[in-house]
Amino acid sequence: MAASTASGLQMAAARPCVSSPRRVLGAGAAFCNANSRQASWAKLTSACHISSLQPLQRSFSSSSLKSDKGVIKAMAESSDKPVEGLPINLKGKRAFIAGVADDNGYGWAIAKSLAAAGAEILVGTWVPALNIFETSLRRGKFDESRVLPDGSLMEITKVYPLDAVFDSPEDVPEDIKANKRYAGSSNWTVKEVVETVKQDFGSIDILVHSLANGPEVTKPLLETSRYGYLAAISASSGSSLSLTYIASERIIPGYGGGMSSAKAALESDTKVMAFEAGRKRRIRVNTISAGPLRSRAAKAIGFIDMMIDYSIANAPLQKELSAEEVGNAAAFLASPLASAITGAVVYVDNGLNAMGVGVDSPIFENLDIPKDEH
Amino acid sequence: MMPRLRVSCAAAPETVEKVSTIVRKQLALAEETQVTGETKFAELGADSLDTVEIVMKLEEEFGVGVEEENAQTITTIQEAADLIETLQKK
Repeated sequence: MAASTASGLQMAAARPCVSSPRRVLGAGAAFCNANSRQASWAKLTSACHISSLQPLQRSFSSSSLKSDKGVIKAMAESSDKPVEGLPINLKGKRAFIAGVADDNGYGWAIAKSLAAAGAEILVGTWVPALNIFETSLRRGKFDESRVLPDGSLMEITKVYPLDAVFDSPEDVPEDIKANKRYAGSSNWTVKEVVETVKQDFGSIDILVHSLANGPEVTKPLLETSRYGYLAAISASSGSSLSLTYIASERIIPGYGGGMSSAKAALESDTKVMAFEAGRKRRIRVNTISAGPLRSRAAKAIGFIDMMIDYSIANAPLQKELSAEEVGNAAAFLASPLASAITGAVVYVDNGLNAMGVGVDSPIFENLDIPKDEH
Repeated sequence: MMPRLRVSCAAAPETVEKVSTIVRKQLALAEETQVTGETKFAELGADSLDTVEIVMKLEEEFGVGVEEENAQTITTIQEAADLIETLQKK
């Protein structure tokens, strides 16, 4: 295999594509924002690698929140020392991330951040992409993007085939059953995956939904049915997290075919689930509304470059969003640090959601609009 | 098959043959399906996932690594064979 240079690794290692059957291997700029990646990893490093600390909700009072200096202070060297600051410690937690099929989407980044914080990682991969994902993993194509802040490689304990469109085998049409990509796998409906995970591991602590599957992005498709979501939640005991997009509540031309409605439903479900799961089992349910990322799935929609340019021109923070920034927010939300956060839509989008107008409009030419001075 | 030499480094017939065999197998083509150097993957009904799987299989069989930029430019069996030979010479 050709050696990948540092700058090319994201692209070279990222061959599999899974988003939609219509997706073509279109040319697209490699996503490689080295600076912000390092920055976000550095921040994470300063806040993890801690094994000796008790769960946080016990050890901090509101007064300790005032001293935020410790958060920035790096303490990565020794995990034995008592820890200063606020750690994101997911040691001993097991996370299931549904919707990982390559190494350049949010799902992968979330898996990495959770792994960096010490969680055990299980992933659910869309059935048609399973072979490509597992082969790439086995052959070391993802090795460079598996590197965690401490230099070790992220381990994925198990990869489960998953098609979240179907709750149980009875829901699967014959043509799908007979499809060559599905025929080789079994137990990939939501209910079956939940059962298999239960058998394999007993329970999970963190559930992440990072899947979007709008075939051709032309018809409405809720990414996980309410039933499936509930079934999945019933197997987890800590927190559940999903990914949404601002198109659920604001008009985003081009984010078509019911994906906006699906995201709106998802955000509503997040609130209702937060109540139901919170009351019954103290499970927290949140969703991250992420800004544009040049992921496989986003390239399928086709105008991702424009959306990134638009965000840089108009958002309060004028930079490209990195997958790691979303991963780190996910690690926080999954951690005890977020123990009172549930039913929330958390924007990780450089603040774009807060804007009421597009400030790059020529109409505002004579307005004194602050610009990035970096 | 007449080589049309539209590329300066047309791959050897054996390579083209080997690529064809791999593609046939990967796409589970019927025996009567004609596959030549000029055959486009799309004509054989390959979707993007198939294309990725074919490229991975080719990498394995020929012991080469195909960068994604290159993988995107391959549309025919001949192009795949040419690229493989170029990579093998490196």
